[in-house]
Amino acid sequence: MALTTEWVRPASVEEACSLLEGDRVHVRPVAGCTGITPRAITGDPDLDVAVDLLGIEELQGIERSSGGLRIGAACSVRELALAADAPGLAACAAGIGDEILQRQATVGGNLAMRGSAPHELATAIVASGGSVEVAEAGGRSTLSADELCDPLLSFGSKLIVAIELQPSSGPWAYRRLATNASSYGVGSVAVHHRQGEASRVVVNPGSGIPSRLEEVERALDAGGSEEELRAAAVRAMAAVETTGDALASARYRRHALAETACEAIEDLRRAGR
Amino acid sequence: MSTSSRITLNGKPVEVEADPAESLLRTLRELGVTGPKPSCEAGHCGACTVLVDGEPVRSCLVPSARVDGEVVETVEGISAGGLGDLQQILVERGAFQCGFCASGIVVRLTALLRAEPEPDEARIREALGSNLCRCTGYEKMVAATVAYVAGERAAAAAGPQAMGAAVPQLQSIQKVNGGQVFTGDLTLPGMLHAQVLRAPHAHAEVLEIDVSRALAVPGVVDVITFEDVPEDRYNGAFRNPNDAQNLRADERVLNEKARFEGDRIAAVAAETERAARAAVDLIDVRWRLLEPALTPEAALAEGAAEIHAETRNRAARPVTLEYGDPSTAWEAAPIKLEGTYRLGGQQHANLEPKTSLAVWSGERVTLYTTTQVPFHVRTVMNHALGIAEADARVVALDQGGGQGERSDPADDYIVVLLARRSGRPVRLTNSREEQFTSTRVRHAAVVDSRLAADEQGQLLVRDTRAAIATGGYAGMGYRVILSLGVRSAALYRVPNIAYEGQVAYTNTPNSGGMRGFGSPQAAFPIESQMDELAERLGIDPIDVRIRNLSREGDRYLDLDESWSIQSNQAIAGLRAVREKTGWDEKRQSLRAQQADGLLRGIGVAVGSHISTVMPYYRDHGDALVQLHENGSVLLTIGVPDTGTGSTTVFAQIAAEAIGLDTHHVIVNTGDTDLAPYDQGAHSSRTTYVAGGAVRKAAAALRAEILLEAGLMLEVSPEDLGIADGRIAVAGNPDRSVTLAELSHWLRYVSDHPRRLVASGAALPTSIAPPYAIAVAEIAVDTRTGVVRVEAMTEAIDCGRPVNPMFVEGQLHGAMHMGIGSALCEELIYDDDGRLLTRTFGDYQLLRAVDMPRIETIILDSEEPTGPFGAKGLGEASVVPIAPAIANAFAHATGVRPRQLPITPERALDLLNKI
Repeated sequence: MALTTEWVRPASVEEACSLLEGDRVHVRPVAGCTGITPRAITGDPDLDVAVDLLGIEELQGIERSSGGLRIGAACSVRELALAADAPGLAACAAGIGDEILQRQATVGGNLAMRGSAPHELATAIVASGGSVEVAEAGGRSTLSADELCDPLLSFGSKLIVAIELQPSSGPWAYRRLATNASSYGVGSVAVHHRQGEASRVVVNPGSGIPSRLEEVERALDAGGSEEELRAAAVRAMAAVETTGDALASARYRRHALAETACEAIEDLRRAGR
Repeated sequence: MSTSSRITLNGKPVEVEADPAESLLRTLRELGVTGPKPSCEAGHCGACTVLVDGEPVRSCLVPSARVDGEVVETVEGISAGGLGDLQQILVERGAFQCGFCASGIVVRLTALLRAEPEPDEARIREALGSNLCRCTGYEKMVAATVAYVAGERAAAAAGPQAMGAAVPQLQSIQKVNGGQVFTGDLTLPGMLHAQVLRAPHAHAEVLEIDVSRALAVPGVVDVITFEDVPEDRYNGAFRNPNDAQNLRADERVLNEKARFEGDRIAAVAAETERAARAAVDLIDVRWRLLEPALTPEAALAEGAAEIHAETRNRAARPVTLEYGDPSTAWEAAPIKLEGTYRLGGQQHANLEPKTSLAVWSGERVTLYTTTQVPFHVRTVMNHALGIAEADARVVALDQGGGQGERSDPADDYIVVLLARRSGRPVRLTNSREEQFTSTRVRHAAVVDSRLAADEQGQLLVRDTRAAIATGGYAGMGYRVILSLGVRSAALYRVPNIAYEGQVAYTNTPNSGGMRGFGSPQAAFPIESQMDELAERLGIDPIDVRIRNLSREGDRYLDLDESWSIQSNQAIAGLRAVREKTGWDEKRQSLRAQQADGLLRGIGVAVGSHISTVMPYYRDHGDALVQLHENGSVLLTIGVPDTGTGSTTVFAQIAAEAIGLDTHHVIVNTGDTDLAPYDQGAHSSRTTYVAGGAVRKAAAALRAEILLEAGLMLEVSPEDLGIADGRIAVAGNPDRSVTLAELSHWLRYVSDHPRRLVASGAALPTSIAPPYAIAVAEIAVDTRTGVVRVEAMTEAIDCGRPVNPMFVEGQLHGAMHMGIGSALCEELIYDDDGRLLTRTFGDYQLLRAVDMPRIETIILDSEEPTGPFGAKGLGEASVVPIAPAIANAFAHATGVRPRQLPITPERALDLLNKI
């Protein structure tokens, strides 16, 4: 561990990737810094070189075109929360932290920091059916939304560049499950029905790694009754890899998120599905 | 590498040299801007909030590299032209208590109102969701902001204010302008920084320890281990000469064995905190892991691994109480109730982390520390390090919350030792994680409770068996288990009492004093069973309590009649909450309002505590008052202000006794060299005992003032009176002098120059129990198990309120802590004893949006033995909150909780939904 940090500001994604490449230890990308505490005494002892992504032009903001939305990885969670043309992601983003944290946190950071409940943008991205552009020293590639559900997925030395979404169509519902203290989220459910496509029912079981509840999706698209959907949700949640932590047990999460999924589907139906 | 940047800080250009990855918070504090406070340093609490280019940010999360060229504004900048209207109304309305959160909240509210000049209450609460406050329940800061938005402005006080007036805290202005100095704000020339190696295991022996790599870290000055500290053991709760009879001496300044995760093993002093931290990480320890015991039951079970040798994990002798003939009465009783109740450990969660700073001068040490008990810290220092009381000065500045956490020395003596060895000042400040693992917590408890009554609902027997988890060291366990037993027995009239209490060593963080001190653990079973009794008999829960509550004139258990209860308005309190809440109607109607998976209910509970630890332990306080040269009165007292407003309360009592305005009293607190002995801020004794001493001292000073003024004016003292700082001849107001003129006369004119000084001591003659009555209205989501408190009403019998605004504030804070203990606050461990709830990100604290509608009632009461009729309230007020919620849950669902907190999962378990 070095006692001071080198702070570098690459101008492009490619430059950032080259800085992160190789076997340099304790070199990390930083963006919003809400997940990586600045190097206070209690902070990150493993940060010797910080590669600051916030200044890279390509990563900024939300671009809108007829093909849909391109949300830069350095776009703030707050900006996304206010994006009316990305209703599902906006609802999800609005539930992350509070508005101060949302202004500082980035979309890419939230997506990259898998492993706990607040990192839940992936849930809405999977529900949206969008994709994620990533870059590494060897070039760029695209992850489909469903690849975000892979528990083995690790961004490693890959940089998240942008999220690509098709133009919004069809109803959304998003529900966040909290403990008795409302700022402590234990999981969430995003439900989306894109016109002409199958519905997507996606749960964040507290790990930040989304899972599609495919049995529930089928029941929903088949017009299943409330009881049928609930039964499907319970079965589907039983199959989701769910862990316990200080906020909730895995057992509780499986039960309550099944209920939350049912509530989200009720919302979706009220919204026109 | 360190980099240079330029910022505009509070309107002035500043060149900043800092590690680019260092937080803006720490960089600002290095620049001497200490308004932003380090509390969690992880973005959870908001105490460090500042504005960067006009936008609020948590400065602990902003790398210094990011602010080059930016405009940074802190609370000091916001206050540069004097207090704004918002700050003034926050002061006037008593928005803050300890004030540690205040800088961040003022900045947050300022940002909100600049962006949105007319937010409604919901929006204000949402915005305040960025900030944590442990003292206030957010109620008064929300109300003050709502008032500000409505155009209200602070008004000057009309006339002199003393006893009974809603005087803002004397330090209020410093609380809202960033000027209040906490221990962690202190730095001394040449100061070293300490860090502690905390055990990573809950139960393990050190087989080998090697500090050579740590000593090699650049900047490290000293490394000490348990091999470098005295072998004599002490107990951090020692106060009185005979305490060793009940309190085991079992800890050292550094320990050779890990008895809980976070136990202190070694320590480093270095030129910088970073070097100290790096060195701690390089201390090599070879451990032998032992089986941990995490609950009282596990620790007391046969065959459990001993945490201290030859104790069978009994940290104190059992406490037994027996009155009447409980066995016979139980057998004969027509109605019997039994149950086992469990309460989890709870953290004080004070926003200010513990800081200790020691500096030696010759053979004397001065220790600045966040403590509620400076004299006690000095006493224990003698036990721990052999430093004579005469050679130690302990100074407690204002505290960023107390709640009992700072009732023993914790890590204080590490810095005393390091400072002596290095010959330089040494400071140690806990991280938030260390606050969780290594300070003090509420004793987790398991209580077997039996209650018997006759068919009219008159109590016949209380039989209680309790065991509490004291953590790795005995600490105050004996006192808490005694308190639990006494409080179990004393609230209601019960002719037959049996009690047995055990204190178990456990491999969990050290337990200690925490608001209520045994009373919450007593109240949950009692108040649950009172409701069960009411249900069994078809009696209203309020009525069954009225039937059984102790009353004025009753003896306090078996104490002799001189300790009889002299003020008790608990029954009046029950009647008041019944009317205020519409209890009778809601008790019927709420259960009928079941919709959308929500069940609603209303519940009541009564709680009590004490205003002194007498007669169970010695408790007295002294105060010293002097007529200052400028005509003010200078009051010196040993009790530090933990944020409750005690400094102001003392000033109000002194002002009332002398005939002054409160603002003419200057109060010095918490310095063992300057103040006469006092036991400190604990046990709700501050107003009653220390305030009693203040009253006596002030009355004596008044007599001195009148005597000298009589000489000056050549009249009899009996013909003189004092009002608003002026001494006047009765019936002839033109013949008068001010206190300043009297002081001048004494110094320069009289033939007997002297400073008028008086002291007063209080030795309590009553326990003076305060009483609190709470009603909770809740909603239970039967799908997710989530429980929300929708309304909370609390009535308090605190005698005559010295400052009604502070009384309300205490109740609001009690509700925050009480609701938390009922629903979400709990220390959780993995199977190896590693604490899982070690940040504000996983230890669940309520935010402003979570608080219910709140009503408070101050009952008309007068404690004859208290200063101007006052008694304590801070601890009693928290006692009934959680039981009232549990009773509301039972009313809503028909199922009775027997474990707190009622987490969503436990709620679903109770409802057989999971």
